[in-house]
Amino acid sequence: MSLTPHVIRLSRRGRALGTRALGEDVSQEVREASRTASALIVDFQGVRVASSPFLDEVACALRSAIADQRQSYVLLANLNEDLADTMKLVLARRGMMLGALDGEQLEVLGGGPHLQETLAAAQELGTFTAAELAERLAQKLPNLHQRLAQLQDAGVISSEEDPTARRGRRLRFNVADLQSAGC
Amino acid sequence: MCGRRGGFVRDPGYAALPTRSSWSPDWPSMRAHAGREVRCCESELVEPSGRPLTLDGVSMQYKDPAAISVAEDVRRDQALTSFLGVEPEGEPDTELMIYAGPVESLDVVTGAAARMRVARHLRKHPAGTVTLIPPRDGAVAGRLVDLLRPLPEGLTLTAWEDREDRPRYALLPATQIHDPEDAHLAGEAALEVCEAARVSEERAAIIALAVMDLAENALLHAEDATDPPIVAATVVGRERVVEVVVLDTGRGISESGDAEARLAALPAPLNGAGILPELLRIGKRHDLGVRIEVLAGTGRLRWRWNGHSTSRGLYVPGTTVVVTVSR
Repeated sequence: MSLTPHVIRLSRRGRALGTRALGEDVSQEVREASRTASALIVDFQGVRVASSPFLDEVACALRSAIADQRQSYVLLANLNEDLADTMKLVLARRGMMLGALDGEQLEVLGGGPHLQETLAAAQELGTFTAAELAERLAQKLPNLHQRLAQLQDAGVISSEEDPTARRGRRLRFNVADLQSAGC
Repeated sequence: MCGRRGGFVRDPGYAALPTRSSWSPDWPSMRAHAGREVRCCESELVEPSGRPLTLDGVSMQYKDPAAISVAEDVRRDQALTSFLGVEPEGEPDTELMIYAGPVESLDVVTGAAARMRVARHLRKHPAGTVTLIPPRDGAVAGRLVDLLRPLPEGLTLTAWEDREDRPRYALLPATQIHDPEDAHLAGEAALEVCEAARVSEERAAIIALAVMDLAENALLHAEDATDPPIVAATVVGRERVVEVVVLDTGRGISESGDAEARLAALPAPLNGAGILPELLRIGKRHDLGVRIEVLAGTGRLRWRWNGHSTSRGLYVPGTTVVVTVSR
């Protein structure tokens, strides 16, 4: 599914992002954007360093955006090694996960290797049902549903009713095609 | 006192300068005319009582006292006690004279403490001025002046000859932080000057983080602070060792019954929350030497990634955090 996400470019605020106060400003921007955007990317391109209080504010705002608008993709993009490392610690302290985009590769910050493997397979499929992904990963459905729920919580996949389902209710899952994001 | 550790002295050549320890409310102070160095010699001064005082070739007058005399090694706690100790109230136009002629060595804390004292004096004495007699040693004087740039209005340097070829000492001159936006801008500035000074990207990142978040910490957590916090950074030597200081006048730790115990409680796991463990963690990841020193009241904390220790020292006002980043 191709979406044109709303991109919040943090480099507009500087290359060194610190202080909780600045984090609160960015959080406000995230909250406002998430009310209308169908997909949201917080782009760290050009940001050299950010402190954990700043990243903590941003992570909490993104988590709220995911919870409020479950149809949205909410991702971080272009974190350098230091930023990714600090963000992982922030997320671990909060018991949270967030999706991060590096080029065209998605990863789950704060998630284990099993989630990364699931996400990589999902990204190859693009749009899929749980059964299709379970087959590809040779996993049992209940186990896979648990992983899909975690990936949705991390904001990297979304789901919608499958109109082609012959009986009952079936969900189709989407991993966003974010090539148009310009990240 | 004239020991190697420096501090306040009675310099024989400047016999009329009060030392902090000998200061009393009726001590006469002096006014040196801008641009001229005070020297003990012939000209006559007359204090209000009519008693003549021989001092210098410069005409002087008595004012309410405000003078600081520092000498020799004025680093770390010596700087803090010298510049930020008890001070007289004085009149609105009181002049503060800082006599630093005999200073032989100083550091980033010296610049920050001097900057805070100058700002405090000019704030408390709106019509007052500050006269700084820089160290006689040109290199040491250059470092002090470098840390105080841009010189605040109201601060006069005597006997100072600026030279373009002095090696740069202050990465970030001593700067007052009034709000979180100031803290953020200081961090941005630190990143920029580190790049210009060819400090590695990894070290620059640590320095910028230290500047921003320690300054914000000081704004948020310094209890009953009398002055805005000051941040400064210096770079020295072939190794390009960088020192960052954030100085605040918060009384929470320094005035607590046991400052050492309060500081001993600070160290957190490196994967824990807080800016200090974060700096150590990033340093370790990039194989850099990061050291943290905290001076508050009589407590001292020294912290590296592989351990920390606390001790007691001279009483210093407020809380001073020094982060040293080396290769």
